[in-house]
Amino acid sequence: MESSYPRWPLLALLALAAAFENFWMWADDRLVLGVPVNLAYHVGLCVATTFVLAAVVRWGWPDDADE
Amino acid sequence: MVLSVLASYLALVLGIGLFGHRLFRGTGEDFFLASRTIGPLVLLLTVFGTNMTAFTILGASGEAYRRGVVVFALMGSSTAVLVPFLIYYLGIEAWKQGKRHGHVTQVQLVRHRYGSDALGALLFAVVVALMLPYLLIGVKGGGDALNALTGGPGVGLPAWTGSLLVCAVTYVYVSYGGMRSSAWVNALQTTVFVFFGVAAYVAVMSEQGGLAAAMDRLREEHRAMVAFGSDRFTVLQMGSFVILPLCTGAFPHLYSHWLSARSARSFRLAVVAYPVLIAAIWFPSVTLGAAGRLQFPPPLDGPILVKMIVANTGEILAGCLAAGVFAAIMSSLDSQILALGAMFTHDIVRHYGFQGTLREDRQVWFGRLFVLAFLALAFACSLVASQSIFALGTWALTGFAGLLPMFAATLFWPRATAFGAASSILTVVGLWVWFFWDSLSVEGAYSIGGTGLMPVAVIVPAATFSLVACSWLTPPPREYGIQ
Repeated sequence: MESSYPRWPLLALLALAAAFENFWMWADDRLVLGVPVNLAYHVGLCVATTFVLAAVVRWGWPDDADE
Repeated sequence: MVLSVLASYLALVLGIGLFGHRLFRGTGEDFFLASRTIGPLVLLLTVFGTNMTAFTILGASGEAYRRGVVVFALMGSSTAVLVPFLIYYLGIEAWKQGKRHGHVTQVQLVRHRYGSDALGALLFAVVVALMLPYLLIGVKGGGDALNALTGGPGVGLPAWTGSLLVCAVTYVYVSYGGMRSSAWVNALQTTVFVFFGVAAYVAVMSEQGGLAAAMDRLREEHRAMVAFGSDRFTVLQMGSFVILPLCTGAFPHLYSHWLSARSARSFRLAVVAYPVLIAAIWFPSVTLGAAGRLQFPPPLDGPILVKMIVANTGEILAGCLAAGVFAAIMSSLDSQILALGAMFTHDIVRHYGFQGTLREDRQVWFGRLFVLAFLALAFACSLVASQSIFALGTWALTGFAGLLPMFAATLFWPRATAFGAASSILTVVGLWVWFFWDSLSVEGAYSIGGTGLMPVAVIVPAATFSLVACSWLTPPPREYGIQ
């Protein structure tokens, strides 16, 4: 029951959740590379999340997970 | 041609499912968890496939048709951000506890952790009740898709035939091969709907002059469809959509898949690849749905995705789409009914009186019979259910999201007590019934008092508060949790 999870992945999750709220550009209807700019932003968020998770798996894996 | 392609695909699914039976070891753990031997790739495909339902394929494109590309953020990127972290935290911890103590179901975990029989019974009842509307998404989605693909209302095959087909095929391979068949078929089905989805997307968008041209036209004719501001969201409302994917952490079928993993390392691929796969499915689904507004002005009679495929591609691709839609539906339905069978077998049959007196294979048969009865009920309900797939799904997901604080505390918070867990579950039940009853006055409404704030944004904090407050007000557990 003792948690062996580091804290920084939780902070990374909170940062990604904050980045989800791109309210400053919600009214923007421009297209970027043929895609609505807000849609492109959120696709980019998905890709960024993948990189963060790769770091979590590499450096934030719980010590006793594989026991 | 559509039916021929679909029939070929279903035959392939049955073949793989029945092959899985050849490796069946005859034990309950093998039937329900494939003896905990699932590796990284199959785990990724099966966990992802389980979460991709008719809700994703048909519901998302339908919602994008009504609201525009904002749907990608509401249900796509919010899921991509949250779900991998749920797998990282809850999946690994649940797997560890399950392996150590031989758990097969969530109810076993909760009973073991809190030592409360009544709490387990309460959780069983709530989870089964929430699974019915969630199962309905798949059963109803299969019927709607087959009807639209064969000509639409009044012309195509009646919806009940598609619903019956989905139920029958899924039941056969799940009841015959258990988790192993389910996992293998899920891996195939996830591959199929990603592959066919991309093929269909390219074909349809080519007919529209390409994605950029379609979005440009959409911007000119329906500006609100390409800007998120069209819905006048507030930060709070938008944030409430990040809460809904919490439901994933409380799904009984996902819990089963977690426990079927060979090792904790098996989770790594699923954690990393999940967001990209989400984007790969939701992007085409949402942009096709939004672009559908250009070709099919409202009112719409049938799923927009199906109408776009049928209108813009040949019959073979339409048949492939049918296979893809059925793949998405069955890859969720099989896991759901297997999890229900496991719950009935372990939490009811074995727990109440038959432990040690009934052979394991007989206990598995009880699970199969329960699943058959439950599927029959879902099929019957699909004949009379009138709400859209999206609305049905959202309410089921809301209930599961409300259960997440209790599960998280069960795994990570030693001070959580049985009273705290029970009060959390009862808070979810009470608020869920209240909000659902309130929504009936406005067809399909999913907001509190018309504010735009989703009920899940109230239910999850309330369930958390109730859990914490009641746990602190009651004596601490004798042994601080599972050691």
